[in-house]
Amino acid sequence: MSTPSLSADDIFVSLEPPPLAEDPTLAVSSFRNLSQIIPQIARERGSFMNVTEDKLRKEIRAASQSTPQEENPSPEPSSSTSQPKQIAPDLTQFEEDFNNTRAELTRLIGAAQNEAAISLDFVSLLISSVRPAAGTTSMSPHLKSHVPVGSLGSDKIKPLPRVEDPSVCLGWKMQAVSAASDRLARASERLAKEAVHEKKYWEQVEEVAVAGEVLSKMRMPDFRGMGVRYGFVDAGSTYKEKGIATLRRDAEGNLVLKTEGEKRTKVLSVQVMRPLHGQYVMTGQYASKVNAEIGDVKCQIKQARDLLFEDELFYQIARETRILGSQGVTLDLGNTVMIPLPDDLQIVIETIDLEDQYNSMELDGGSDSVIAEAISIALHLLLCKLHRKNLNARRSVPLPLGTRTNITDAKSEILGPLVSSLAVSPIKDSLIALITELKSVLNDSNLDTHESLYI
Amino acid sequence: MSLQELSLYGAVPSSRHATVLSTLSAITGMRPLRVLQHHLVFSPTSASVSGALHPSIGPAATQLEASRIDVHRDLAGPVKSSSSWTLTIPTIPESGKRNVQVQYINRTTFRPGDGDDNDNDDGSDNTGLLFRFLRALDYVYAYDYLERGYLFVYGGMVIIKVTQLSPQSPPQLHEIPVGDEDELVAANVAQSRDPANAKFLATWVVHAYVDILTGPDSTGDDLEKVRIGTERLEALKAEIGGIITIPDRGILDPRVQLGK
Repeated sequence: MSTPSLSADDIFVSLEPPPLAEDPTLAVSSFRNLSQIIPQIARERGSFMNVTEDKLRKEIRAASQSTPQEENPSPEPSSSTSQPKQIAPDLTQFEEDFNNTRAELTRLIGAAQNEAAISLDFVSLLISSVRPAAGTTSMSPHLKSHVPVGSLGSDKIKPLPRVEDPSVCLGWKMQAVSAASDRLARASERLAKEAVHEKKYWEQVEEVAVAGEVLSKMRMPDFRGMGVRYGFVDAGSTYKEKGIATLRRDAEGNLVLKTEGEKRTKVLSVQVMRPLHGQYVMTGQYASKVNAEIGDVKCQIKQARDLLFEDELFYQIARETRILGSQGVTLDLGNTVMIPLPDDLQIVIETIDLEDQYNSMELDGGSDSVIAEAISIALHLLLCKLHRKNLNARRSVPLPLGTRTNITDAKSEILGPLVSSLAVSPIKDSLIALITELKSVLNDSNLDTHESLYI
Repeated sequence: MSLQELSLYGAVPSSRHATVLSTLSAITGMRPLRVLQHHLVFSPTSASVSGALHPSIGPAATQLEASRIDVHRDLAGPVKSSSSWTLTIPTIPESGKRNVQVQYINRTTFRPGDGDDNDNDDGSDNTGLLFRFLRALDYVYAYDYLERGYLFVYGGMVIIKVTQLSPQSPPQLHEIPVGDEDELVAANVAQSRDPANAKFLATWVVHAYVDILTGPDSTGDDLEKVRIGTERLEALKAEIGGIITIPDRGILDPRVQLGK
């Protein structure tokens, strides 16, 4: 572009950012952005064809001549004289760099040309195997002389099918299969053992069921399985122990009975005491007989049942001593019930350990032992009667909720009947004696007496 | 006495009634008690209706329903006439979303006076008296039915009745000879109902209920009693859930399906 002639009065307003301070090294740095410079030059001068050495030299001379002229009006002569000196070394440096770069450019162009020629030769040789005429025309003479025409061919190739090595597959398969078969064999052994144990367990359970025990399903937090009801809840008992035991299986498949709570060991014992030399002496005794040996599960269930019954019986007796307190029945130390009867007879009911039941049978055969046995049997029967009464009450049609029930006094169901029946005989005898005496007195006074005795 | 009855109803077809009975036996732990009752239903009538036994023009249907009196007596005993009649006046069950049906009932046993029928061994019972008494209250006999089945007691509180009903056709006018209507209808009704020959409906109705005494004679907090009763009924419902569905909305539905 041609710049108009500049006068000193013209004010320059540049739209581009102000250039950096004049730095001799900058001439080199600006030259590095070749990709920007080349298109700029092409725009300025049309094309590189128009750029010749002579023209450039002229331009440089013109530029160097104009710059001292511009610098002349400045009052610094030193800067104007030093500037041509500065510009001169700049130019030589500039030329040197320019030459180096030009040489580099030439070299690169030469290399590129070489590469292109080689590629052309290669493709020509390839084509010459198919179309000799087309190939030879474009081949270079050097190649033609060294390599015969049509000696390079090409073809499409199919990838070879992968041949699997069967032995590798077989190896892996065999290993996996044998591992699986080992596991299966071990599992089947274990299962067979388990099956044997389970069979043993269930055979024992079946024995228990056939013996008439009531089995039920148990759903406890720590156990799920079969349970056996050995208690008396279904018979009407309202005791705190429900009497349910679990039937567990141990590692060998044996049936293990586990009752809830602690194992019971006490049985009921009835003693008859009579006074001898001012002190009460035991003249008869009877203890309930419960098998103390640990046998198979059926025996254990029976044992648990019997002991639960004894427990409940003594609990009821102890509870009723309170009701019969007016008749002199007392409870000592929480485990001995004393019942005073007429004719200086005293009945003592207590619980003794299982082992002791055999130790204390030295008074066998005496009449008081027979009485003690009869009392013990009567107590057991009365508890059964109480159970039956509870059951009937549970089954009868209930009164509406909220009906006033006038049951304020608890009745003594076990001790009450026993005590009254034991006490009635002497009382009856004394009553008869009294009436007979009255009758004789009245007869003596010649009064007719009509007697009818209903007892 | 005035009672609040909490009920749950269900229905069981004939084919399954044996299963149901054995299940209830197992759950309640008792053999079923036999139930055989004869129910008479009396409706109120306006005083203007003359002579007719059945009120053709009477109070509106809903009022009629609410004011029926059901009188029943047990026939299960050895002597039919020895049991006394029990009057039950139910009200319409309470509305609202509830788990159990709540209904107020008034029940009393009809006892003849002391100076009456002392040596009544010839089989004629006090049914005639009953009819005359209710007539004096402006109630006339409408129809009667027989109920037979079984009864269980669950948890000492819930009564479960599993019964079949046999509706009886009321005696027609021409069957009643001329005379004292009430007495004769009573005699006819009381004598002619023979449970052995009656035709019972195939469906067994399961009625599980708890009676709560209300009123001045009762003890305890009413709400608490209702709560306990409801809990017990729900426990029963859960326990027999797979065998009997209570409450069964189907049987309480009075609509009739065509073609069935």
